[in-house]
Amino acid sequence: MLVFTDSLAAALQSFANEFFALLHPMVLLVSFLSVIGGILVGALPGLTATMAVSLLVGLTYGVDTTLALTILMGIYVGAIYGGSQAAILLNIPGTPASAASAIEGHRLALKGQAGQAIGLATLSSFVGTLIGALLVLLASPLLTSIALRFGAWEYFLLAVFGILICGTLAAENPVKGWLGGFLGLMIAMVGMEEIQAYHRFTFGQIQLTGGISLIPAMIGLFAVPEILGAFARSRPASVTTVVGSVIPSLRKFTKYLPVTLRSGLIGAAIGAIPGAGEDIAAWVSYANAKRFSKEKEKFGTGHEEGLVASEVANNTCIGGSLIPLLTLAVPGSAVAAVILGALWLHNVRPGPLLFIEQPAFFYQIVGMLVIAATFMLVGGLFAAKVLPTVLRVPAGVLMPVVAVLCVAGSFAVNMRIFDVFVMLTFGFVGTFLKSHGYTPAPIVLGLILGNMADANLRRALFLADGSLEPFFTRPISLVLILMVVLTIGSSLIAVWRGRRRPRET
Amino acid sequence: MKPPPNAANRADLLFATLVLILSAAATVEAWRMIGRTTSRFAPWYYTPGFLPLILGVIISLLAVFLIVQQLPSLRTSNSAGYGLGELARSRSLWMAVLLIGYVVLLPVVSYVVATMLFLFLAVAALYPSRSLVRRVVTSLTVSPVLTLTLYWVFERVFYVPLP
Repeated sequence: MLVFTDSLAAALQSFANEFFALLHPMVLLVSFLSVIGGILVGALPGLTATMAVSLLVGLTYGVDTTLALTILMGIYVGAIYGGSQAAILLNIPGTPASAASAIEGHRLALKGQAGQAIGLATLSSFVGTLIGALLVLLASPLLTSIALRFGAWEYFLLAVFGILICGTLAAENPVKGWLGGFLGLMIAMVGMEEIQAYHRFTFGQIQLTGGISLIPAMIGLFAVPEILGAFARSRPASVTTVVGSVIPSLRKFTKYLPVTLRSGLIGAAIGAIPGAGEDIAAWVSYANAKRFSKEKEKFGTGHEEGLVASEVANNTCIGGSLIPLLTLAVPGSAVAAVILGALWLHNVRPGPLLFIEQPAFFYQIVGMLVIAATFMLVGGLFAAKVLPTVLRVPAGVLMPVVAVLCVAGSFAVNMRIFDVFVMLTFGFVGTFLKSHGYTPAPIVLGLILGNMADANLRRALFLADGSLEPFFTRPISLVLILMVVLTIGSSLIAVWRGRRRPRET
Repeated sequence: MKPPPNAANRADLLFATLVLILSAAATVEAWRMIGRTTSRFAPWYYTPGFLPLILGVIISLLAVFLIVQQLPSLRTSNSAGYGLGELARSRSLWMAVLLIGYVVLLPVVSYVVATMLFLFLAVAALYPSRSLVRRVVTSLTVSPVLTLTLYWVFERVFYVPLP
C-alpha cells in the first residue's frame, strides 16, 4: 500500500512538472483552436472524430511533435464531445459515440431544456475526460510492468487477440469483422519485410516496396465512405435554437456523481479493449445506468441520468483507449489507431519502453488531455449558442472540402501521387464494405499490427526451434490463448444462435 | 444508403468469393515464398512466407464460412434487385466520379487549378438548390475562396507540400 502511494505521488509529481511545462501560449492556443475545430467536426453530421484525426495526421506531418499531438488530442476530445450537440439539437448524433445521448438529450431539447441538456452533456464530457486522464496515469505504469514481461509469444498472441476482439465488437457479424482484420494483416504483409528484406506481394512495383502507406489507407477507409455516404442521409430542415442557460448546476452534478463514477470506469475499461471504441462505451454505460437507476421509467423520455451516463463514458473512453496504445502499442479505438500512426510518423515508438525511456512524453500526453478537456468545457458552453447556425452548412459544400483535405493529407506523408490513389482505392473499397456490414476498424488494426504479428511469430518459433510449446507453458501467453479461444467460441455460438432465431422485420 | 437484402446477400456472396479466390492465390504465392527462402539458417517457419500462408488459409476459411452463411438467405429472398439506375442517379455517385476526376487531373494541372475546378463542379452539382443559377453562382463564389483558403492553410500554417 505504501509503495503504491509513493509511486502514485511520484507519478502525480512528474505529471505536474510536465503539465506546467506544457502551459506555453502557443500550445494553449493550438489546443484551444483544435478543440473548437473538434467540436465543429463532431457536431456536423457526417464528419467523425476518426475522419478528422486521420486527415490531420498527414497535414500535421511537418509540425513539431508536441504541437502535432496537441492538435490531434484537441480534435479527438472536441469531436467526441461535439457529437452530443448535434444529438441534442438535431436528434442526429454528430458522431457514432453520441448515439445514446440523442435518446435523452433530444427529448430534453424538445421540452425546452436544450440549454440545460447541453450544459449537462458538456460537464459530463469534461469530467469523463478527466477521469480518463487520471486512469491513464494510474493504470499505465501497472500495465507497463506486466508488458515488460512480454516476449515474442505474447506479442504475437496480443496482435491476434486484438484483431479478433476488434472484429467481434466492431462488426455486426463477427465473421465479417475477423475477415476484415485478417485482410488488414494480409495487406500489411505487402512490401519489404524486416527480417530478411524479402519483397512480398510487390509484383515488381517499386512503389509497393515500402508497403501500403498506413495514413492514406486510413484516410480512405475512414473519410471517403463518410463523404460518399453524406448525400444519402436526410437532414432536418430546421435546427432547434438553444433555450435557456447552458451553465450546469452543481446540485445536478452531485446528484449524478455515482452514475458519473460508474460510467467513467465502464468507459475506460471498454476504451482499453481494442476496437470497442466510444460508441460501445456510451451504449453499455447507458444500459448500465438504466439497469441500476431508481427512475428506470423516465429513461427514453428525456432523462438527464441517461445523458450523463453516455457522455461521461464516451469521453472517458478516450483515456481508456490510450492506455493500451501507450503501454503495448495496441490501440483501444479507431481514433487511437490513427494516433498510433501519427506517433510512428513522428518517430515515437509506443510500448512498454516508452514509459521508461520517455516518461516525460507519456505525462505530456496526459497533460494534453487535461488541457483539451478544460478548453472543451469553456468552448463547448460558448459554442452551444452559435452551433445551430453552423449546423446549417450543406453537405454539398462541406464534403467537397473534406475531399480536398483527404487528397492533401494523403499526399503530404510521402509526397507521392501514388498514395492519393491508395487513399482513393481504400476509400471505394471501404465504402462498399461499409454498406455491407464490414467496418474499417478491424482492417486498420490489421494494417497496424501486421509487422508486429509477423516479426514476433517468426522470432518466437525461431527461439523455440519451431516448437509451439512455449505458447502453452508461458503464463501470460496461456492466458492470451484462453482469451482468443473464448472470443472465437462465444462469437461463433452467438452467430449460430442468430441464424436459428427467426428474423425480426 | 443500405442496399435491399437480396442485393446485399448477392454482393456479400460475390465479395466472399472474390476474397476466396484472392486468398487462395496469396496462399499459393506464400507457399512458393517459403520454398524460395528456406535455408540452413532460415527454417521454413522463419521465412517471409510463413505468416502470409497462415493468413491465406484463415481468410479462405472465413470466406467459405461467409459463403455458406449467405447461401440459404439468398435462396429464400425475393428477386427485387438493387438497381444500378438508383445508384447512378444518386449524388454519391456524382461525388465519386468527381473525386476520381480530381485525382487523375492533379498530376496533369497544378493543385490550385485542379482543386478550383473540382470544388466548382462538386458544389454546382451537389449544392441543395433547385435553381441552376443559384447553384452556379454559389459555386463560382465558394470554389475560389475555399481553394485559396485551403492553399494558404496548407502552405503557410501546416507547411504541407501540395501535389
